[in-house]
Parts: sequence; structure tokens; C-alpha cells
Amino acid sequence: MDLSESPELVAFRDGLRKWLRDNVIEQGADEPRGLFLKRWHQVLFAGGWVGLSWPTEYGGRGLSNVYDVALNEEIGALGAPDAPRIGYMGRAFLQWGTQEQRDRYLPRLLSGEDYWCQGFSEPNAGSDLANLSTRAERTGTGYRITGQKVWTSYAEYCDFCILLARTGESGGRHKGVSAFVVPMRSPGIEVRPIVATTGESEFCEMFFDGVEVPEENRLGAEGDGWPIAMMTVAYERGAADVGYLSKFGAALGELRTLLGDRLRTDAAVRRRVADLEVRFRILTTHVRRRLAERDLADTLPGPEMSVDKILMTEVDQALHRAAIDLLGASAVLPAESDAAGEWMRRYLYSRAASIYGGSEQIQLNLLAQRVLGLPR
Amino acid sequence: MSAATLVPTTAPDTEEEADLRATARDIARRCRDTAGEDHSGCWSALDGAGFTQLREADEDGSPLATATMTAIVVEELAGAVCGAPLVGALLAGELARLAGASLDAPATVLLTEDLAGLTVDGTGLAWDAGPPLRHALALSGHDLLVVDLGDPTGTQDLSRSVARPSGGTRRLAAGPSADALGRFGSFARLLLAADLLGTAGRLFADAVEYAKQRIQFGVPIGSFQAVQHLCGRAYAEVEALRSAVITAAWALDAHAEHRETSLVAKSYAARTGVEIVEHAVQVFGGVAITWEFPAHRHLRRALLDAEVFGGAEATADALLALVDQEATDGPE
Ligand SMILES: Cc1cc2nc3c(=O)[nH]c(=O)nc-3n(C[C@H](O)[C@H](O)[C@H](O)COP(=O)(O)OP(=O)(O)OC[C@H]3O[C@@H](n4cnc5c(N)ncnc54)[C@H](O)[C@@H]3O)c2cc1C
Repeated sequence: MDLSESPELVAFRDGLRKWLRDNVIEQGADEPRGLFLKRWHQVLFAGGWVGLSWPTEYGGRGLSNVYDVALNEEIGALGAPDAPRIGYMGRAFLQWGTQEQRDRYLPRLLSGEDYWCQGFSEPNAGSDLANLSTRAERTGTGYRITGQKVWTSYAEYCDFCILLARTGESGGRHKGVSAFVVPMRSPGIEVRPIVATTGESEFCEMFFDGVEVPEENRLGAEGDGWPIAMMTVAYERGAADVGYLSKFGAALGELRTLLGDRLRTDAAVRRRVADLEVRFRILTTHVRRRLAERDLADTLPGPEMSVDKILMTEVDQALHRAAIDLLGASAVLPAESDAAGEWMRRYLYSRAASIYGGSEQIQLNLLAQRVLGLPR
Repeated sequence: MSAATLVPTTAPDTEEEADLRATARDIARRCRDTAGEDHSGCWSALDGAGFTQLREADEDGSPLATATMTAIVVEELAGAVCGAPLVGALLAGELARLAGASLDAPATVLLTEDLAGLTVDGTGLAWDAGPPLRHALALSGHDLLVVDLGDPTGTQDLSRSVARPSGGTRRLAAGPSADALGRFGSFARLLLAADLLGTAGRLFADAVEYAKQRIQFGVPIGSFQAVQHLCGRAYAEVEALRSAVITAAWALDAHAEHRETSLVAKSYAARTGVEIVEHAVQVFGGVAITWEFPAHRHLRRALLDAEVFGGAEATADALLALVDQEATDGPE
């Protein structure tokens, strides 16, 4: 596999680095993280750095997938805010959307004008997503949606939701599930933010009480919801697809700076950070290979993406645990809401990495059963 | 989830210890059910039961309760992530007793800025300094001082505050002998290890109950082998930690090798105490990532406990230094 970088890619990196130095923004003192990342997304888009591997007709740049790795690496190296994570939600439109839906939703999703949330999980449908019970009943002109969702990230700031609801018989498992585009301002939706362990309201409960959506808001055919959901979560498991590669790179750089001299003088500190460096680079090389594969074979991500999710989780959790250990009292002593408590908030959030997007145990089950073909 | 459910252990308490545990557990249960952010009622209950003074001296100078009993009380209250400054008060009681002094008012202890041990120069940070404590005992040269404390401030451990000296100081007694300070260090590590055992063990026990009740794929999640192994692993760690705590407490009570055993207990507790809580969080899934659910309080307490009186690596290094020394000098 040829992993050499083309002159175009090298020039792209140069241009991006220069642009980043002049254009990075900072989170406002009272600005919620969700809104800040949306603002950053828009700034990046204006610079031409979002949707690199997306078709130009929707505002993307039609480049190969490996450009996403370069984007993540450069952002991470400079310690700029995370690369946008939202894009993976639109991928299903390329496969299942009508031309009209793509034209309508994708440009504004890529530009960051519209923000999207993922309404999959329910109180009784977490790991067992196929147990979802939110219903979409046919009306004359479309559907009426009733039910409850939970853990929906950033729902309070979002404009649209990709929602899974049951159109077939109840108890029908993954059959009879359909996907819908639901404008978050539709009458009948109530969003209740849930405060996370970090003290921030990351995710929400959503209640749908007879929410009307027209037929044209269904994504794919009736009953196509399951493969649409599986494709969306497969993208969600890629560290470049959700911008996490940039986040980890930036965090690792920041940690090295904070440790300063200890990194050179304390052998134990040095070993711990060296280990993180190797793990992080394993993730990076793996993601680059994956995306190169995607370019070569023109394939869509499938259950093998659980490998990516496992590697991503491992880096996330090892990095943040090590940071707390190495920073010691300076990380754990600041008051809960103090800015100096940032590493602790990141650590706490890293514990969610083995839960969201399909838990660690579910990823391992998928690899064993779907990829390795071990008996169920 | 009933607070009384306990994962079985194979090390039953003596009758006296069991009574004490039951009383402590009762206070812990009330703390869990009703305290919220205000733990003044917990302090009153602990004080009423005599638990805040367990290490103060009786007529002949020996502590009112054994290290074993003290560790039991600490473990139970940590299970509720109780915010009453019990451990601070117990440490101050021990330090005063070892110096042959007694306290007029409950106090905590003054530590170095990195929390790794007692200060030696009268400056530093008082840990576990929540109300009603207003003073800390501080070593300064050859003296043991009582220092007044400023208002407490919160930490990432939502259950415990820290405070800085506010200026007022008086000499309480001559500082304890080097030997007594060695015992104090062992006692402090024991209490922190017991606190980690309680914090981690309690959340783990709740996670096991949850795994029996939470249904996914039509069955309790505890029927999946992945969840069983997660729980089995954590249980092995809880029990190993319990062995280490029991042993370190016994060593103090029996005047045996308390340095080694307490270093082993604290080092293991600092590492696995946090891991056990992480395993429990994993079993709970998304609900454990919410503020409302207590898991993060356990996690925060465990992470701070891990640092106090020496982290996993520093205590392991100190253990190795002892082993080296014994190899050269022969046994003590
Ligand atoms: C921070 C965060 C953000 C999230 N954002 C979103 C979002 O935007 N949209 C959305 O739809 N959802 C979101 N989620 C929900 C997430 O997808 C679920 O939390 C996840 O699928 C797990 O479900 P659960 O929490 O109900 O846990 P459960 O499914 O109850 O799992 C509990 C435990 O049981 C284990 N388990 C369950 N089934 C099995 C099995 N078959 N084999 C082995 N072990 C098993 C799990 O691994 C876990 O350890 C988010 C979650 C978090 C924490």
C-alpha cells in the first residue's frame, strides 16, 4: 500500500497550517461547548476545510479520504479546537437520500449552518437498539411520531434530528424501523437537557408527542432504518470521521507542555508519555490505512470499524487517565467548575467513550460475531 | 437498589466489629438517602456515636478503638461518599495522641501542597477540612501546632474540601517521635486505602445489583459473559484490596510490619480503587455519565484519595526502598 503523500497533499497541509495560525478562535467564557464547536465549524468551513472528502455539489471538496487524516493531524499539532464531528451524520444521505434531500440538507450540514443530532437511543433501547419503541404512524400526508429518546448529544442546540422510529409491528426488532429527518422546531417536541458528569449539559432527553413530519422527510424506504443506522454508527466509530484524532493530538501536545522538564528528568513520567505516544500513533496509522482503503476500494465502512472504535477508546482513556496521574494534585484539587479542572472534565468524559457509539462490549461482540464469524 | 445489599465477602468481622459496622452502615445509609450536599447531620451522627474520636487516647494513652475498627467505620462512610470530615478528624486525633496531646476541638491535618504527606514546616493545605472543622494540626520543626483555617473551598472530589491556614497558630505539644510519625504515616495510608475500598466497593456492589435488573436483548445484562467477566474482575480486585486493608490494620494493631503492609495497601488501593469504579461505570452504561447519578462522586473521591499520602507509584517506590533496606540490613 502506497502511503506516500502527493505534492498536492503536502501543499494542502502547508496551506492549512498557515490558515490555522491566523484563524483559530477561542471558546467564550459563557459559551457552551456545543455552540462553540458549531461556531468553529462555520469558521473552518468558510476557510474551505470542511467536507474535504465530500462531493463538491454539496459544498465539499471532492478530495480523497486521506485528506481528513491530514486535517485532523494539523489541527491536533497546533492544538486548535477539534475538527467538526458532525459530518458523519450526513453520510447516510449519500447512500439513501433522494436528490432533493441531499440538495436540501447536505450543504447546510457541511457548512455548519444546520446542526444535527442523532435520535437513536431510548430508555429501553441502549445496547439493544433494535428494541426501540418510538412509533411513526402513517397519516394521510406523512407520519405522526410519538415516543421518547435519551442521551441525544447536543439536541438543545440542533436544527434537525435523524430519528429512528418504528413503522412496522411493535416488537419487530430491526425490521420495521424507519429513519426520519425531524426539524427540531416541530410542534410536539420537548427537549430536556441532562447534566453530564462533567457538569456540562452534553446530552438530552427528547419527548415526541404526536410530532407531524411529511412523507418527504423519510430517509430511504419504509423499513430501511436499520441499515441507515448501522452505516451512521460505522462512520461514528472512525477517529477521523468524528474529529477525535485532532482532539487527542492536541491533548497530548498540551500534556507534554504541562509536564515540561519532568518529561526529561523523571524516567517514570517519560515512560508513561512515551507509551501514550505509541498508542496515539497506532491510532493515527490505523486510521490512515483505513481511509486509504476506503479510497482504493471505494468501500463503505462496516463492522470492521469496531476495531477503530476500540483503538479510539483506548487512546482516549489511557491518555486522560495518565494525565490525571501525572498532573496529580494540580488536576484534582481545583474546585469542580474551576477552569483548572479541565483535565478532570476530560477524564470524566473519556469514561463515556466505552459507552457511546456502541459500548466496548458491543464492539467486541461485533468483531467476534460479524467479522470473525465466531458462533453466536 | 437497596443500600443494604452487599456483595459477599469471605472475611467476616468479629461480633464487636460487626456491631460497629452495622452502626456505621446505618449512618451511611441515612447519608445516602437524605444528606444531599449538607453533611452536618452526618457529622452529628458520627460524633454522637463517638466515631470522630476513635483514635483519641483513653486513660492509659492507647487509642479508643483499634485500627481495624477505625478502618471499618471509614470504609462504610466512604461507601456513601459522605462529606463529613471523618478521615481528617481521625487523622488529627491520631496525630495528637501520638504526641501525647489532646484536642479541644475537632481538627484535620495540614499536608504538603502535593498532598503526599504531612507538612513539616507549618505551611500547606488542610485536606478534608469541611464543616465543622476550623483547625488543622501541623508539624513545624519539632513542634506540633494547631493552626486556624480560612474558609474551606471545594475540590474535584465533591465530598471533600480543602482550606488554607488563616494566620492564627498555637503550639499544642512537642511533635511525635520519628517512630510515632512512622506509625502515623502507616495509619494515614490505611485510612485512605479503607476510604478507597468503601468508595469503590459500594459502587461495585450497586453495579452488580443493576446488572441483575437492567434488561437488554430480553435478558438481564448480567447474563452476558462480557458483563460477568467485568464484574468478576472487579470483585477479585475489591477482595484483594480488602485483604490489603485488613492486613494493614492488623499490622498496626499488632505492632507488626505496618510500614510495608500500609504501603502495599495504599499503592494497590490508589490504582485499583479507581479501576473498580471505572468498571462499575461501564456496567451502568449511559446513566453513569449523568451528574445526577452518584457514580461520578465515587470516581472523583477515588481519584483524590489516590493522591493523598502518596500515589500508587510513590508508595510502591517507598515499599521497594524498604525491601532494599531490609536486604542490606537484615530484618528489623
Ligand atoms: C456521552 C454520551 C453521548 C451519547 N450520545 C448519543 C446520541 O447522540 N444519540 C444516541 O442515540 N445515543 C447516544 N448515546 C447513547 C449510547 O449509544 C448508549 O448509552 C449506549 O448504546 C449504551 O446503552 P445504555 O446506556 O442503555 O447501556 P446498556 O445497554 O444498558 O449497557 C449496560 C452495560 O451492559 C453491557 N451490555 C449490554 N448488552 C450487552 C451484550 N449483548 N453483550 C455484552 N455486554 C452488553 C454494556 O456494554 C454496558 O456495559 C450517548 C451516550 C453517552 C454516554
